[in-house]
Amino acid sequence: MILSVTDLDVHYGPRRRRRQVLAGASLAVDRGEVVGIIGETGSGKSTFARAVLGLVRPSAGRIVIDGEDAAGYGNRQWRTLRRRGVIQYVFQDPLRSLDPDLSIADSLTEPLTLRGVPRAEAVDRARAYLSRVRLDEDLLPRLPGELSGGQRQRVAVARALVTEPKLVILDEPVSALDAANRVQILEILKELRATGTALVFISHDLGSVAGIADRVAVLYQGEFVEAGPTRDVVTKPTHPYTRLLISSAPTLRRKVS
Amino acid sequence: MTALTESPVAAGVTSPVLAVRDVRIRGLGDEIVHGVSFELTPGKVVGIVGESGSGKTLTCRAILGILPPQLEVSAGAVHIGGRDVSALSPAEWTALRGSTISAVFQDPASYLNPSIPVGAQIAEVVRVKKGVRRRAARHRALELLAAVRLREPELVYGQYAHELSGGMLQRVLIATAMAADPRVLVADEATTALDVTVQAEILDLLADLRASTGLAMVLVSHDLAVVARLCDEVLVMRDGEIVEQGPTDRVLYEPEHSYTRLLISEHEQYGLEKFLEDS
Repeated sequence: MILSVTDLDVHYGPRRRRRQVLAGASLAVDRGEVVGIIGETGSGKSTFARAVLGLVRPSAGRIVIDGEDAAGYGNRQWRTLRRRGVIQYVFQDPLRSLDPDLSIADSLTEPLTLRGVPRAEAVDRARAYLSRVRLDEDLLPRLPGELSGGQRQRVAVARALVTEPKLVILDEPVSALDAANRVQILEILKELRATGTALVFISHDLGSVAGIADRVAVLYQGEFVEAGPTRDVVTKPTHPYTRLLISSAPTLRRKVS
Repeated sequence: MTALTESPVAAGVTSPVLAVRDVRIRGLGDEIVHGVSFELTPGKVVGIVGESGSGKTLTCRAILGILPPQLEVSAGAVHIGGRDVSALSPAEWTALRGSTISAVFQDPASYLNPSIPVGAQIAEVVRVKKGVRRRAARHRALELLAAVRLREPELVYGQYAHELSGGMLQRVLIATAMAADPRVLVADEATTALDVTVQAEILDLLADLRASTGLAMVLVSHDLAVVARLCDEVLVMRDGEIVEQGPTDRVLYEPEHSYTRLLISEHEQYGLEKFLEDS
């Protein structure tokens, strides 16, 4: 198991206006597995991602990453984990997962050189990953701001992969992209399965996750209300909220009359 | 692909409430939209699918007479309720908007005054457009809030925009758009910013309004499936061009253009379709 989260609680706000965002959320991700997390506005899905990356502190619960309990992690250890650890991440807005002042080359090589990989080798690997996400190496000296949204998101994916992490967390990675770019990112993510990298794919839309996830977990009001193999959840949902999600998802097959 | 596809109804029995004929839009010397044509008869829904930059929003704005200043309709014609809109004076446009053609957009909050309760804003539209007294306008506003299925119209009437969720705000905007009983509603990405479950509710609401009032609609979305849910006819736009146009079922099941096929295969490969197919 690469990630095990048990009974996670997260609260926001000062004492009197304390609001519970996650209430006993539990999720396990096996090595090499692709897990989809589905949740709508306010479900706590992004908070879940942020908690697993150490960007928010849970008020209760246990996070075990690659066999190591994160309970004792201080800020420094979390930062080390995010920079070059076993978990990497891609957000909806690639400008949030890329440093706007770093060239594409630097964004891709920094996590490697931090780990002591020699510069020349780091550049070779950056090139290799850039071609894996189907981008031309001409882009290496450019800044994120000079790229299109689709190119930028592919760079963000390459940056997440370059250290060969065991788990990548993707929070709405394709929601801001047009159809052609969306398909391209999903294809790249599908190929990743072969490398044994586990993925947690977070989205508001079950439809956009169904084609790639082995398993989906439905987050509703801070709790996972249903989880299982994608086919089972889609064809035999047990929780009323899951049923509502499935009947609401726009598909090309059913027309409202 | 600029041929007019006329529905059997449009051909004779009912005259179109909206006719768009080979509309082209130019700006700064370049043509940006290269000819859009379709017709709406009462109760008919036409969908425009395309991504940002495809020209779908500009087409809507041209129909509503609200193109940005540097842009103009350079060829073709828009007829609303039988009148060529190119000849309309600003006052005539104002009279037409709301009472014949109305619109809702993606971000409902930005179309409401944050410091006036939403109910009063709807009542104001009713008062101006229908020429009724305040009390009657308030009564009508409450009816409209109930018609868009807001659970407690009296409560919502007195609330401010910031107190309502995105889905509730979009219902308020639809109520406002319906205030003067328009015959055509343009909905440009009206459900895009909403959660999937809320989006489904709003689409159901639009379907109800069409059934109960004979409202004709132009439904614009980047998602073919959203459009497919409601529309009789679909236009697929890319780079200012209609790449495919036809009855919804024909476009979905026998797509001719490679771009339409891409939009469909995205759903088939990565969406729920493949699970629902054999269930």
